[in-house]
Order: sequence, then C-alpha cells, then structure tokens
Amino acid sequence: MRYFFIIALAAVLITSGCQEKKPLPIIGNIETTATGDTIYPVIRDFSFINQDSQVVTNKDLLGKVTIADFFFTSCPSICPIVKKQELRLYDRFDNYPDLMLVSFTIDPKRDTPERLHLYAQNLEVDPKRWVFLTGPKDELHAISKDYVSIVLEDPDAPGGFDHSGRLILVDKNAHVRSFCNGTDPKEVDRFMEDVQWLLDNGGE
Amino acid sequence: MAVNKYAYRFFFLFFLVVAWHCGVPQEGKSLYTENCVNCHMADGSGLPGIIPAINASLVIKGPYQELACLLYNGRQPADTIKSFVAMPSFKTLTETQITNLINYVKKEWTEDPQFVSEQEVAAAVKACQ
Repeated sequence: MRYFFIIALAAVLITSGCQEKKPLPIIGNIETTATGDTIYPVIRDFSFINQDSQVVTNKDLLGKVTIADFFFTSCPSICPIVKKQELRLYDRFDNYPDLMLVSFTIDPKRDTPERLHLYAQNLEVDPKRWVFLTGPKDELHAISKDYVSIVLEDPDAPGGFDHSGRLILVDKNAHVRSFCNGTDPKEVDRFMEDVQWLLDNGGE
Repeated sequence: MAVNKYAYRFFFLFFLVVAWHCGVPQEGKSLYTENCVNCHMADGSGLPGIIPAINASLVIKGPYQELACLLYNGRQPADTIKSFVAMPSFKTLTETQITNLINYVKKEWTEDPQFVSEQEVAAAVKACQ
C-alpha cells in the first residue's frame, strides 16, 4: 500500500511537470460588435524617433515580438533596476532576431535622440535589437495606456515623473500578452517564461 | 555572588557584541535597500555605463570622510550630457543613519572594513558643509 502511494505521488509529480504552459491571453478590453465579431485591443498607430534619429512606426514592429517599457534617462527612482532586468532579457533571448526591446522615454524634453543614443551606447546594446524612442510628450504618455502602464507628470516625484516599472510583452499582431513588475527579479523570471512561450508559438 | 557579578558583566558584554553585529548592519542594510538599491542594485553592481558599480568603488574603499560628504551633499555630474543620473543628496538622513549606511557598505564591499563612529561621521559632515 505504501509503495502504491509513493508511485501515485511520483506519477502526479511527473505529469504535473510535463503539463504544457497555458496559452497567454490577450490583455485589455475585448469587445464584441453588434454582428457578433470579437475585437481584440491593439497598440494604437504611432510614429516616433529612435536613438539613431530614424522614424520608427508601429508598422516596423508588426511581425516582431516586443518587450516594451516606459522610462527616462535621468530617472533616479526605479528605472535603473528595470533596465538591469531588461539586460537579463536582452542576454537570454539574443538568439531570437524576431524579438525586440522597445523603451519609450516619458521625458522627451531631456531625452533627445542624441541623449538616447548615448544611453544605448553606454549600455552597449545593439540598436537592431533594442530601440529607444522619443517624440511628442502627449503622444508618448497617451500610448502608455495601450501598454497597460501608468505615466504621470508630477513635480513632487523623483525626477518629475511618476510611472509604473512594468515590462510589457506584445505579440506580432500588436496585442499585449503579458506584463510584469520590472523591479522584481522573480516576476521577471516568470515573465521570461511567457516570452519564451510566445517565441516558441510563432509570436502569436 | 561573585560569580553572578561576573556573569552579569559577561552577559552585558555579550549583549553589546550582539547588538553591534546584528543591530547596526541590519539598519545599514535596510537604509541601503530603501535609498540605494534602485540605482546601485542589491549586489552593488550598478548599471554598467549609466550608474557606477559601488562593489568595487574606490570611494567605498577610500576614506570615510569622502563617503560621508558624498552622501550628505550628493554629486552633480561633471558632464551633464554624458552622465544621466545625478547622485542625490541624503541630507534628510540623520548622522546616525549615515554612519550605519557607511558601515554597511564598507562591511559589504571592502576586504578589511574599518568601522566608523557617529562622532567621526558628524565631524566629517560638518567639515564638508
């Protein structure tokens, strides 16, 4: 009888270990039209400037899996710790040319393309794999909502902005599929598995 | 009775040693977590190219006076184009807290930490104001 329990327990452990990861949901408000069609939320159209002063639009990112975040280079609060976690993602997925990291500045007044170029250069990251985008402040702040993030200008906050340190996973069709608190390495570990799942499933 | 007297002395000394080893670095560690971790990281490695690593920093290894002044006054980058984040001033911390913070970082990242007293830090802070 005792052996039966041990074998049963081992069987449960083995099968639970083999369980496939559940598909990632599409995050956001899913709407149904009068005709019964389902509309999944997508990242709105945008056109910003990268660290090499080139225009980057949402169309350039279609067909790629992206990991996005909102930050500013002179941020004295959570940004460096989030960037450190993004470097982990950058290193782990260096064999996936279809994956891009996209960092939107929320402080375009200070974060000019030149300054973003220097920042990326100091981090020693490849501009083909990690873009830093700047543009009109209102548009940058507005698009953060599509990326389920919060950005607020607040003179009392460190550096002048309040913002969430989220990392957001977006699929090839511009749907948000996962996010995590980028300041917490354990959450980022879990997020990495979501990124891996999406890449293993063709980015959709 | 004589034994008891010695026993009391022993326990008092034991308590002092425990308080030093547990209390002080503990407060230093929580101060570090609250004020420094976001930029310099829990392991002191910083963010290469952006935020200096302090686990191998000469400032940490150097004289405590310099470290006390850096914490008290902060530091604006010499080149605001090439540097991104200024070292903030921690004037809001008390001299006791600055002392505990200095002792914590020295304990963590120097090979032969020389602990400083609150009086020494107070004098150093006064000198750099």
